[in-house]
Amino acid sequence: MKNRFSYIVTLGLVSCLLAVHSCRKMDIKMTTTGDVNIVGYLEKYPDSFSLFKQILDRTETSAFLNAYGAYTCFAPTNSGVKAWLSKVGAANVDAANLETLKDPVKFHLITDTLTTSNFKDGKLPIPTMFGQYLITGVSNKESVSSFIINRQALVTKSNIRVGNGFIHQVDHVLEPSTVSLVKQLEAKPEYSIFVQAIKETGFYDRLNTVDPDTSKRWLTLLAESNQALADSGITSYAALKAKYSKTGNPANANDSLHMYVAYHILDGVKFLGDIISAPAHQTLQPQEVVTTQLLNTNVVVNEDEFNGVLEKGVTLIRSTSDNAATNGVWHDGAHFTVKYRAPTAVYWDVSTFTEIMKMPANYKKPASRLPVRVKQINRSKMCIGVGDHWRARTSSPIATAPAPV
Amino acid sequence: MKNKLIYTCLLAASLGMSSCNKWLELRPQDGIVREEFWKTKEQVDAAVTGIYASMMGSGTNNLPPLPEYLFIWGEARTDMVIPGFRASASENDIVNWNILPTNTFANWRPVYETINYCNTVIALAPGVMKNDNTFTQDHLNRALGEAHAIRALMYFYLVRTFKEVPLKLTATISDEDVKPMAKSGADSILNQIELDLKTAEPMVPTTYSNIDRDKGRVTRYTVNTILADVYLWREKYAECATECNKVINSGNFGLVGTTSSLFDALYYRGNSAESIFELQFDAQRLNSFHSIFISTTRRWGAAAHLMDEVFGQDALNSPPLEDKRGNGCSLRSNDGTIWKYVGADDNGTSLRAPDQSFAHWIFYRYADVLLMKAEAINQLNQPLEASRLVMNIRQRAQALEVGVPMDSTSKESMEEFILAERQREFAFEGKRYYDVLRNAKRNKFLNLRYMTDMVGISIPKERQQVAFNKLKDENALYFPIYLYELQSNKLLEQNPFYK
Repeated sequence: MKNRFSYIVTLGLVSCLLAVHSCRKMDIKMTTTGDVNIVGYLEKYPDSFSLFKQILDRTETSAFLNAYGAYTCFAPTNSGVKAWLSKVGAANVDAANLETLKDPVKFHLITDTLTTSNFKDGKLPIPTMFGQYLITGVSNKESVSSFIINRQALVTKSNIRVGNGFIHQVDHVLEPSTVSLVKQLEAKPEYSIFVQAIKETGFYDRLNTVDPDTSKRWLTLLAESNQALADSGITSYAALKAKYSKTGNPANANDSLHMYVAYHILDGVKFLGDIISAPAHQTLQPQEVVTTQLLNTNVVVNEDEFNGVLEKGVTLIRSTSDNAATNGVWHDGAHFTVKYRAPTAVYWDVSTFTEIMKMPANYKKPASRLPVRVKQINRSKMCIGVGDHWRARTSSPIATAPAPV
Repeated sequence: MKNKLIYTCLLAASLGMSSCNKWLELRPQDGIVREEFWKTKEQVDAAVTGIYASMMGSGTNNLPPLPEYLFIWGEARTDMVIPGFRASASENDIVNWNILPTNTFANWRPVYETINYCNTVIALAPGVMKNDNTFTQDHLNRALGEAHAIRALMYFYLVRTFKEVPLKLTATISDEDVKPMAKSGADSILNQIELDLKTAEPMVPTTYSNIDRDKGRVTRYTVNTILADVYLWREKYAECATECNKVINSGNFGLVGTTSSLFDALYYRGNSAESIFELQFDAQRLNSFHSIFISTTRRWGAAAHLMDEVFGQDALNSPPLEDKRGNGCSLRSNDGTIWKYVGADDNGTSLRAPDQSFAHWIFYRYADVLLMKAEAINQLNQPLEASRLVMNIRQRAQALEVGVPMDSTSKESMEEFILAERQREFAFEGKRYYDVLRNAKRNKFLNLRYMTDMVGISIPKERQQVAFNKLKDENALYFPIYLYELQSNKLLEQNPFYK
């Protein structure tokens, strides 16, 4: 009896012991952060992104977008994807041709983290995984401003920070351009004269090829519409040819019509935002540049003061410029051509460079200390002019200026 | 067995009795708890002084002091400054009009900290009357008036910078007071500001019989001036002119530096007869401007076009005539140093030493009152009278003719001229952005061009079009709410432009 009692007690104790020590699940965090990655975020909001997520799954991009890395993803919402699917004639994501899905997906991804701080007038600093650049801007509708990507989609939610980059929610699918510079122009009848000049001068192939080597691929074309040419009194290709083609063979590199076309093609992909950030750009015409500047918010080409005379430039039209193509970008502007300059002597003030000009205490003030003797300049046969103060002081000894503060 | 039980009980009892009550004391040893504070009038005074001290830089967080915020909010988006080589990413983003919710200068915490000091005085100072018989009603009113006025000033900065902010009017004394809070509309905030200032006006004295206190603490004239600024912002021009007249007619203020050095009196020595309210930095409490402006660690410099296009340069006379506010006062032209806060003389030769960096932050001065009145009466169709006030300011500074000359017959042209004169007069005093915004938003953004013209100068070329289109959205003219605030206060809604 006593044995039986102790048996029960022991059994009870053991079971208590087991109950207390029963395997309590330890909650150990296996991840360093609870942040989701790009695909994780899309999964979290199926109402907005279920279709885009499906596209990522079908094109097998979800796997790497959910892994470690630095990406920027422009994620179109479901309504945007639906609109695009009906545009390409697919009933749903699974029905769409796999190849037509792949390119747009790559066009929505950039292998870097870009916030809206990087959005300027013109292209993003890094091309998309598809290879083309996205252009950014801000559009204002009914006094609400929002970022616009590639002139196709508005950013409706920006700078969503996820584990492997940033997501910007956009309201439409971004579509890369599928045709080359010259094909885009050819499709527009209002550029027929300029396109014919391109064909006759032999630049057509150059403007039509998409070089697999991205360092050689990009060109920028400053196109002139028929209207722009008509404003300069050129109403047909024949008139253009008559005006410029002196050798009769536009394909000849020494022909002025050939030069005219070459002068409208710049190396590299230069959106208006890039054009205004440099004072001059090399053209395909050897040793000829176009100068560019921003005058009262207008992008003006070739407005220069030459020999004291201001030569008016031509304006690139913002609303019809910045058109991206597979091999570059083209802009729309008024008529201009290469300027012929006879060789001439150039005189300049040796002290007119910005570092000196920014010091009003010293610039153009008499008495400066420079390590050049006036006599040496006079004796030399070099064709240079000197600053006013130098000329004024040729006969007196060089004084020491008070030390700049 | 029985004994064992008794011994155990005894031991337990003895341990329980002699337990050291000293170490279970929960009061902090390095501070004073509220129950022991708020007993005497001296403690009320200390709390009021704490409000002013909090504006000079807070001890409780590592954020920059308030004047640095006010400088950046008021100048960074304008054509007055360019970022220096040490400017942070946040600062460059503000210049480029790319302010993200993570921008450190969108963090309004230092302002709310000062507001909470004001709220605490307003909540707890009246209770001291019961404990301290020597604490008079007048003394209490003074403390409450100062707190109300500073709270109004802080909310005025917030409403002009963020447009909509939470309107917290009760003190946060313990953790239980920390509750999520939604934003209030700009109008209800501005109504509260007016109410606070009208409450404060009769409570604060006209003078504290000491020049430094008169400039460093809120007087009745400070309240009138802030109120004038608020009325001007709300387009209540007659009321604005009335408040300005109260200050002008007091006869306590005048323009300094007509015969002597303007820089020396106004900025180097500080607390001049012109000053109405300024933050009293001194050798014990330095401002943070020295490292921001000196060339070796520069975060902010003067914009390059200021001498040519804003202050003007004289090419006809020898020696050339100079606007007193230009080179050697607002800035040093040969290296673009912002001179008001770091200069030590008006020839632009010597800088303040780092341990002498206590140029005061001037909230308001008499010239501001004159120009506010000019702006108000010009809007009431008195451009000629407005032009006379502007001439006072120009003659004092020996201003040069720059740009479009003053036309005292046209309201529109005077409006633009007063704005330009304010740019010269209050260069780098944290006012430019608010001045341009106030003039641009007048009559439902009739003159948005003031804003676009200004941004056209300051923005990098390749960002111009983007910025112009952003400006067309009113919400883009205000800062976003800081991300941390959004995460910790779920009732807050982000400014729609920054979504």
